[in-house]
Amino acid sequence: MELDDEAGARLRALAEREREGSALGADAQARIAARIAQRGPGLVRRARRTRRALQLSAGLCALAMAWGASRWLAPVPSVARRVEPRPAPALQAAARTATARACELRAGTEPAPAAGVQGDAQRIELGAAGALLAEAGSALWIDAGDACRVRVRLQAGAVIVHAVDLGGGELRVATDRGDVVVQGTLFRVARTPAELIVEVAEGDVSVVQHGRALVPAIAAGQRARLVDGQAPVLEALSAPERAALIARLAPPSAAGEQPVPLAHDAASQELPAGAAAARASGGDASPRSASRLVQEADVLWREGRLELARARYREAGSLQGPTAEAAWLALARRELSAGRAAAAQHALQAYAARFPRGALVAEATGIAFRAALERGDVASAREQAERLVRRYPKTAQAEAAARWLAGQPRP
Amino acid sequence: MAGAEQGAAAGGADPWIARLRAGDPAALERLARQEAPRVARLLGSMLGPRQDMEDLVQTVFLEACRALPGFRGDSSVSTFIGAITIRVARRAMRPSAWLRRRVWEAPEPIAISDPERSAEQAAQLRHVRRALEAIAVKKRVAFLLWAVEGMDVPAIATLTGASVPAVKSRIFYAQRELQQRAARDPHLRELLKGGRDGAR
Repeated sequence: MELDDEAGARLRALAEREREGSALGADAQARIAARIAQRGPGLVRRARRTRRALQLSAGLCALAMAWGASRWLAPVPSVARRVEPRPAPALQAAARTATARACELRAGTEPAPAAGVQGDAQRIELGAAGALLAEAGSALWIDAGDACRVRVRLQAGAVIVHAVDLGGGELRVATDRGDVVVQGTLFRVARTPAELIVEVAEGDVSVVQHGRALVPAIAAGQRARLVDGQAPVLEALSAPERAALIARLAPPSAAGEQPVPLAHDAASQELPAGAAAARASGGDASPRSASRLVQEADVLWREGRLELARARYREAGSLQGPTAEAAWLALARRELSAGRAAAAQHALQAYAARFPRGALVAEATGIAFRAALERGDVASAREQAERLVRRYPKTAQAEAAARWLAGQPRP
Repeated sequence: MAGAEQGAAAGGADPWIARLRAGDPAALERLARQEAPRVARLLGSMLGPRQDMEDLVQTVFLEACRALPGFRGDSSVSTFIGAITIRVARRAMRPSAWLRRRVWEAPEPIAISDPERSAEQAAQLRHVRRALEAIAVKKRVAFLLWAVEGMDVPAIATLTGASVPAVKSRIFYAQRELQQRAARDPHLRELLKGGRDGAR
C-alpha cells in the first residue's frame, strides 16, 4: 500500500510546520561553529593517531599470523632440525631408574646392526636383544637406531629372528601383509608372492596390520599362513622343523660359522665349546661378565640343558649391573614361556631379594602378574596388576594390567 | 600549521577537504556553518521537535571531526555529513525512557495563529510521531527520508549505507505498518486518507 501524493504532501507540510518551531537559530549555528573550531582540531589529531595505531597493530597482527602460519605449515624436517639435542639415552635412563627399562639401560652400548641386507644369507647380531638370520635371496631393511625399538622391514625372502631379551623394548618384522610383533621368542617370517608364513619355535608372536590383530597369538610350535583375502590358517610345526629353526639361528662358534656345540669334557662341562676353548687357552681366565653368562645360558636353554642354563642365569644375576638384573627376568620369562609359572615366581623372588631397589621392578611386576595369571591365582594377579597401575602407570605392563582389571568383577 | 600542511599533502584534489582532514580550525568552522542548517533539518525530520537539537547538531560535527582522517573524498562532504547525521539520529531514536518523556513533554512548536487548528495539528503530530515510534528504526529512517525529505531511494541508500532493494523494502513495510495503525487511529487515518483539509 503506497502513500498517495496528497497524503505525502500533507505529511511534508506537517513536518515543515513542525520544523518551523524547532529550526536552529543563527545564534545556535554560530555557537556550534565556534565550538567545532575550538574542539575539532584536537579531535581530528587524536582520531588520526588512533587510526595510525590501529593500522600499525593490524599490520603487526598480520605479520605475526603469517609467521605463525609459516611455522605451522613448515615441513616436518625443518621442525626436526630444531629439536634440541637430547642427552644420551643411558643418562636419561639413569635419571629415572625407577621406571627404566632394561633396553634403555643398554642404550648406547649395543652395536648398530647393518642398515640393509640383500642377497646371500647373513646373520645379524642385535646385541642382547637377539639375532637375525636373513635367508639367501632376502631383501630386508633394519631400523635399529633406538635400542628399545628394532624394526625389520622384510621386502622379500625370509628372516629368522631370535629375540633373546628385548628388555621391555620392541622387535617387529614389518611386511606389506602385516607386522609380526615379538613377544619374546624365536620365529621365522617368510614373505612369498602368495602368502606370509610365520613359524614360531619359542614363545609366541602376533601378526598385526594397521593396529588390528590379524592373528592375535601364534604359539611355540605353530605356523600361521596368511593369504590375501583369506582368513589366516594356523597349523602345527613338526618337531624336526622346530628343531631346525632353532639350530639355524644358534650363535656361531669363535672359529667359524657353525652353531656352537656344548663341551662335555670334565673341565668345562657346563660351558659352550667356544667359551671352554677360550678359557682353556688362558685367554678368558678372568671372571665372566653377566652378558657373557646370559649368552651361555641362552645357548644352554636352547640345547635343552635347563638346569645348567638356570645356573648360568643365576650366576649372571649374582653380579652387578643392569644385565645382571635382566638375567633374573630372562630366567623368569623363560620359565613362564615353558609353562612353569611357579619357577618363574621363584626367579622373581630371587630378583627381588638380590635387587630390592632394582631398575627393572616394573618389568618384574609385569612378569609376576603374568605368572600369577598362569597359576590361576587371581588374587595375586589382581594385587600385581593394581601395583603396576598404581606405581608404573605409564608402562606397557600397566596398560595390559589395566585392561585385565577392567574386565574383572569388582571384589 | 604543520598538521594542516601535512593533511593538505594527503588530502586529494579539493584543498578544503585536505584542510578538513588536517584539522584546520577555519575549515572546520566553515563546515559547521555551511552544513548546520541541513543537519538540523534532517534531524528535525527524523526526530521531530527536540529541546536538545543544538546538542545533537553539535554531536554530528564532533563525530565528523573524529571520522575526518578516514574521509577520502570519494563522496561529497554533504553526503559524508548526512551519513553521520543519520547515525546520530538513529542513536537518538533509542533514548532512555527519561529522555523519551522529556521529548514528548517539550512545548509544541506549532504556530498559534488559529488556536483550534493548531490544537488539531498538534494532536495529529503527536499521533504521527507515536505511530512512527512503533516502527523499527531502520524502516522509520528510510520512510522519513523518503516521505518527508523527499529523497530518492539511491540517495537514501547512500546515506544509510544500505542497498537500494533494502531501502525499498524498508519504505514499503514502514508504509504498511503506518496504514495498519491508521485503521485504528482516526487522527492518523484522517492525515493519510485526507478526510478534512489536513496540514498545510
